[in-house]
Parts: sequence; structure tokens; C-alpha cells
Amino acid sequence: MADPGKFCDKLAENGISIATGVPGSIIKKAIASVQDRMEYVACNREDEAVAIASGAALAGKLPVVFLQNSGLGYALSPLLTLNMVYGIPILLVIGWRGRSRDAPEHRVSGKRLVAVLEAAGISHYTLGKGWKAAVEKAMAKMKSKSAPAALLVPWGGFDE
Amino acid sequence: MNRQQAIRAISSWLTDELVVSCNGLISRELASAHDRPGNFYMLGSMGLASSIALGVSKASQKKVVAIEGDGNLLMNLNTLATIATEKPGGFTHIVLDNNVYESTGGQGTRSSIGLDGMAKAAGYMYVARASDVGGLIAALDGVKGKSPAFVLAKIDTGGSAQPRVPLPPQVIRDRFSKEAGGLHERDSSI
Ligand SMILES: Cc1ncc(C[n+]2csc(CCOP(=O)(O)OP(=O)(O)O)c2C)c(N)n1
Repeated sequence: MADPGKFCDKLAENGISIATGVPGSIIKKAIASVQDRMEYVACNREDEAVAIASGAALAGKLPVVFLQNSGLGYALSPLLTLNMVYGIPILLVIGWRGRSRDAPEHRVSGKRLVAVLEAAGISHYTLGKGWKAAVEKAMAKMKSKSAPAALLVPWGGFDE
Repeated sequence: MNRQQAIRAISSWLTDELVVSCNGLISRELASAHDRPGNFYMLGSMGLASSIALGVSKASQKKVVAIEGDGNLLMNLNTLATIATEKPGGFTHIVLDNNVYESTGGQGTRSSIGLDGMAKAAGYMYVARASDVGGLIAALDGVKGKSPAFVLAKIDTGGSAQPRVPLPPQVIRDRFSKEAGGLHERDSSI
């Protein structure tokens, strides 16, 4: 269980200096907290959020993108044809609806989330008890591979 | 005015701006007409040139120019809302509108709705339209620091067909990042 404010402090300590994203119920408190610590660019869709983050990365920032698993499909186009072609590192924080019992619209995408990320070749870590280690591993992977890496946040991953 | 003439006119207007150009024939034309380290040639991620450019403007002190086709803009039309409300400084958005997806064989697009009207409705601070080289240069000269600015260049189809951008993606990235002032910071964090 991560306190959303402490989670965002941890991102900032690791060099993250700009955020983009589209809201979701699991990530809403983290999005509120991140705005007290750095610029947050509110986006219309997840592909746009990835692209704005990637532009900032090209110009020297380390960005984080907040999204919910329902939006991963939109994000995949730039992840596969921009970030993974040029090697542009960004951190994805994905609210994981439908990992266990959840609303019907999240069941399929929640069940398939890990398989989709693995098929796409995107490293992923799940936020649980040892959340600080998960953040550090994801950041280290994103930097060493110069590629996107994902932190998955199921219900309970952030303090309510 | 065809694509080549439009790209040449834009090239002669550029000073030290960072440029993000869309996938397909537009990046190819820019790479052959006016290659420079400050050009980021998109190879994929269709539609997202202006979004990448907005991100660049969040992290670099330099002025930023996005150049894309009408098919590209229509794929990510919501970008007009984001850019108009984010109000980046020194940001110019240029659309080369031939009313087709020329890179993939000339299939029609929906640009007849008037993309400059969409930019104006969204709230861009400067909107201009041109259909010949003189008009395009005048439209670009009219930007004069107004931002975000939108310039619609109505172009004819046809003209030249340039080869693929002859640079590996990592080279495009690294020389662009260096121009943007970002490579050092990112490298040291890796
Ligand atoms: C997401 C996605 N869909 C389709 C394509 C195929 N594609 C490449 S270029 C292009 C057309 C671009 O049209 P436009 O922006 O109007 O520029 P023009 O080719 O006319 O210069 C298309 C459809 C692609 N690269 N990516």
C-alpha cells in the first residue's frame, strides 16, 4: 500500500520531473498528488499522453504517464512505433482495473493486461507491499533499456 | 504549390527552432530539402507530431515547430484543444493539406471541413491559410511571436517523391536531443 503523496515523492527523487495522463479511479489520488510536485499535462487520450511525455523525454526530462488499463490500447501505437523504435524512456503508471472482481467493462482488459504488456515487450512491476522497490526497479529498467517501463497498480496498491 | 515547394519555403523561414515532422512523405521531403540536427523525423506514431512537439516545448527553451499532413492532424484532432489551452510559447503548428493520404496512395481525407477553422475555434492565437509560396512565407512571417500559431498550407498533390529518411532512429533521437539541450541530462541519468 503506497501513500499517493509518498509515491509521487519517490518518483521525483528518482528524477521524474513532468507528468501527463488520463484519469482513472485507482490513480486519481496519485494524479492529484503529482500536481503539487511537478507540471501535469492533462490529456484527452492515452496516445497523446505518451507522445507529450516522449517529447519532454527527447528534450531531457524523465516523464511519467498516468493511465488506466482501458487506455493501454490507445497508448500502444506510440509505445510500439515511437518509444520502442527510437529508444525513448518513459514511466507508465497503470491503474489495473479488473485484476480481480470488478465492473464488467474491466474484466477482459484486466485479465489480459499482463499478456498484452509482455507481447509488447514492455517490462512491468506490480505495486504491492514493497512498492518502493517496485518503483526503483521500473525506473532502473526504463533507464538501462532506454524504453518504456510500467508500474501496475491494482485496487489497494494506493492507500484509499 | 506542392509539398516540395512548401517544405522549401518553410525551410527558408526556419532559424534555430526545433522541428517535429510527421511520418510519410513530409519527413522524407524535409530530410532531403533541409536536413539539420534540430529536425525530429517521425517514422511511425502517425498523428502525434504536434503532441511530441508540445512535450518538447515543455522541456526546451527553444521555439518549436510541428509540420504534419491533414491526415495526420485528423487522426489526433483533439490535440488542437490541448495545445490551445496549454498555450505553449514559441509554438507554430503547420499543416500541409492536400486533402489526401498521399503517402499511402492518395486516398481522400476529411480535411474539407477546414482545419484552420478548427484551430481558430480551439483558440490558437494566430491562424493563417496560404495556397501559394508567397502566401505561405507571408503567413509564416505573420506569426511574429504569437503562440500557439497555426498555418494551413493548401498544397497540390504530386511533385517529388524522396527516398526514406536515411538515418537510423537512434541517430535522429540523439542529435535532436542534443539540439534541444536534453541529451546530457538524459544520458547522465541512464
Ligand atoms: C496509425 C497508422 N495508421 C496508418 C498508417 C499508414 N500511413 C502512413 S503515412 C499515411 C498518410 C499520411 O497522410 P497525411 O498526413 O495527409 O500526409 P501525406 O501523406 O498526404 O503527405 C498513412 C495512412 C500509419 N503509418 N500509422
